[in-house]
Amino acid sequence: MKKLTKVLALALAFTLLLAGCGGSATQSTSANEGQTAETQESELKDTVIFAQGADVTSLDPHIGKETPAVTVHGQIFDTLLATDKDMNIIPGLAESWEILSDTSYKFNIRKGVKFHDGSELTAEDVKFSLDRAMASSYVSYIVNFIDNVEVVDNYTVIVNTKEPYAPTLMNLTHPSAAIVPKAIVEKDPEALKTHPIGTGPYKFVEWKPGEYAKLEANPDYFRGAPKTKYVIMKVIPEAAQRTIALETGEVDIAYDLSANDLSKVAENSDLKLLEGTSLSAWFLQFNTKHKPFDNKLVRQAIRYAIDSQTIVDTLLYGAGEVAGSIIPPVAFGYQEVDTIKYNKEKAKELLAQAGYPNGFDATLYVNDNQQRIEICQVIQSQLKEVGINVEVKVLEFATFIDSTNKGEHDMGYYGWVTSTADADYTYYPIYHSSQHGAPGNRSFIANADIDKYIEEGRVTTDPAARLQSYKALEQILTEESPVAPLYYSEVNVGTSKKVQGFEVQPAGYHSYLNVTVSK
Amino acid sequence: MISITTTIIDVVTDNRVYDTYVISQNLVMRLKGPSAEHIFGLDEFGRDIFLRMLWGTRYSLFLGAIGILASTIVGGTLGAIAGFYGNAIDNIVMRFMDILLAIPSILLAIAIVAALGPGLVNILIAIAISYIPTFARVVRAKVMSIKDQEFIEAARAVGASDARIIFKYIIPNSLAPIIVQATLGVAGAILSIAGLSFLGLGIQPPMPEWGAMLSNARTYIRDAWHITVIPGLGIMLTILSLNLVGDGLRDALDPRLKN
Repeated sequence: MKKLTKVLALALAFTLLLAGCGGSATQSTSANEGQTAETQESELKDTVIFAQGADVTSLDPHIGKETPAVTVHGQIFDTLLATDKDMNIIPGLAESWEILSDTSYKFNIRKGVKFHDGSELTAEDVKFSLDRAMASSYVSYIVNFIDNVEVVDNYTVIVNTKEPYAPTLMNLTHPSAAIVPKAIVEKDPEALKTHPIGTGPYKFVEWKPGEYAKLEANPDYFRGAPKTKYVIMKVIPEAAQRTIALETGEVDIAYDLSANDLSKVAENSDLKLLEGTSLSAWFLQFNTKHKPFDNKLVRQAIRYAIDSQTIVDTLLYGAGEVAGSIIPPVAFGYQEVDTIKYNKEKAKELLAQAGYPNGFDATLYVNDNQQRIEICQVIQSQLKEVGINVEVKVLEFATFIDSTNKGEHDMGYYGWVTSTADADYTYYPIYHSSQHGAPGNRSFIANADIDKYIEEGRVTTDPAARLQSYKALEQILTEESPVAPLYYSEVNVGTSKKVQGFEVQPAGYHSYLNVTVSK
Repeated sequence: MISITTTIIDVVTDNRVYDTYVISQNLVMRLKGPSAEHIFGLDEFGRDIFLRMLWGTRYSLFLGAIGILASTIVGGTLGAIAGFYGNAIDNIVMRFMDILLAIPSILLAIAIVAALGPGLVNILIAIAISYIPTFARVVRAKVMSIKDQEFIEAARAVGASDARIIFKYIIPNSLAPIIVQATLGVAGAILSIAGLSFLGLGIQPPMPEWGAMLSNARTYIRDAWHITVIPGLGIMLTILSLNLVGDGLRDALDPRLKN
């Protein structure tokens, strides 16, 4: 009797589960139908809700530099300069600027711009903010080309750089070069973490870590008041759930959909799929301090052994492009050179030449993200074919960053966003010998030629000469192969058809200034 | 019961089959549904799910069984000592067990794996430690009820040593509840292993562990039902059969229920 009851109970539970799935599917269809009918009324909602995979790391723009943080504090703060959707520089808090010399830039600050607490933005705030960003261990690499900031008068500052630095203006558009109110931060340096106050289109309302953040429109915004009153960011870690939330209308916009859901969103008549070339590249970094990765033949062999095209075609459903470099083609400084392409025989040959005809054992570190783990498992299987036994080590994100900063890995799987669309933003931290560990050079490569070309590209202001340096640099990088570029991803955003005015920003820092949602 | 039999067959298979069929990928064929050639279909890397399920039994069932065996031995010994000697020793051992019991076993296992790092042996250690208190308790209770019975007094009267009394008379007489507890424990341990793997703390890829298979498949639940349902059903049926065996054993071994 007891057994029978148990079996029956289980069968019942299972049936309920199945019924549950069926039920929710029907529900979502009817909800969508309802919404289409309502679209007829041309009224606008007062709230736009978007979902992203991770929570804000910090609301302080001089700490939270990760994309999920910028998507929120990027609405609250402004920078001196901004970019349009093609990454051209446009005025921001500085209404105009003048290049005084190779190392000196003058900015005329917009008059009458108010912080959310009502105080007026002055040159003092600008100097204070840039000094604060330079002193921050999280974001200083973005602004540490600056030597000092001079306040000329209330609405004029001069930024002096240590040496000529070509991407100066581009770096000042980075959201982590945000301008913060001096008076408030001086009183309480921690203030921005819990209640950020900026000049941006949205004011902070509240943040429930792990759940949501809510923002309210700033009617006095200098570019004009935002069109929707509230913006809510919801944290939905599972990609599949973000798609479902979009389908059921729980959210209006969902970031970073998983590749297998893209066709579902594109085919759904109530939804729109927005895609754009991103500034992100994905790659393996080889720890050149570990044997046998100190041998460049081994590093080249691994690059020959990985078939990125298959990864893009299958796991990514074609939503990506095989990369020969970690600089995205849309960024300034991208140089196409004759690089390494998949060739299994060549890989075996190089391994034999390097003295490992039977392969070796190695570790591959990756953080606990489903798609990244899957890609690493494919790489594991591809390297096994040339005799390399790879152990995939899946670590929680903070542990992953920490242990690879210390160089515990043989190989590590990373992504990098060239946020400023200038190659220096990527070349310098990833390959320069002064940037070992945390800043980005986790291959621990130290090569005088690589350093030389990176520095040339930094201090030369002539674009043509910079491109020349970068071409030479890419050639050395192909030969030395401290990094195996895999693919460029695409930025994708799924929105409801009722969302208007949303534009995909290549770095993923989408703006809500012009977004509206009809009821 | 069938799954236990397959484990035994499985453990003796050699690695060549594993390399060529169980972990080798065929990305072009990924997510293909069940067919005559692949009766359970193919997973997200184009690997045969049927074979992966078979090979997976060694991690789930085998690790579960070994882990429980280890905790039975350690927990049983501690429980027997505590129950037999009573007083201070009992207090020290059992209060320590209470501390362990206060932490949910899956949480304890997660903490241990997080401290030691994922890997076969560490999971085994985690599972074994987290189940020790349960066995200590069961054995202690049984020992306390046996130790005052006449045959023990008789043994003591003829001059048997403590060790002899414990191992020769008390343990054999308290085996019944241990066996039942162990069978049910294996079921729990399998779920813990699957749970740890689901959280990414268990068996590392590409090894075919059921919980890990379930976890990896969940992104594709709307594209390919078979890759989640099959490992899920596998786990469910195994736990169900082990629970039924446990219940059956309890009925068979417990004299009070024999009417």
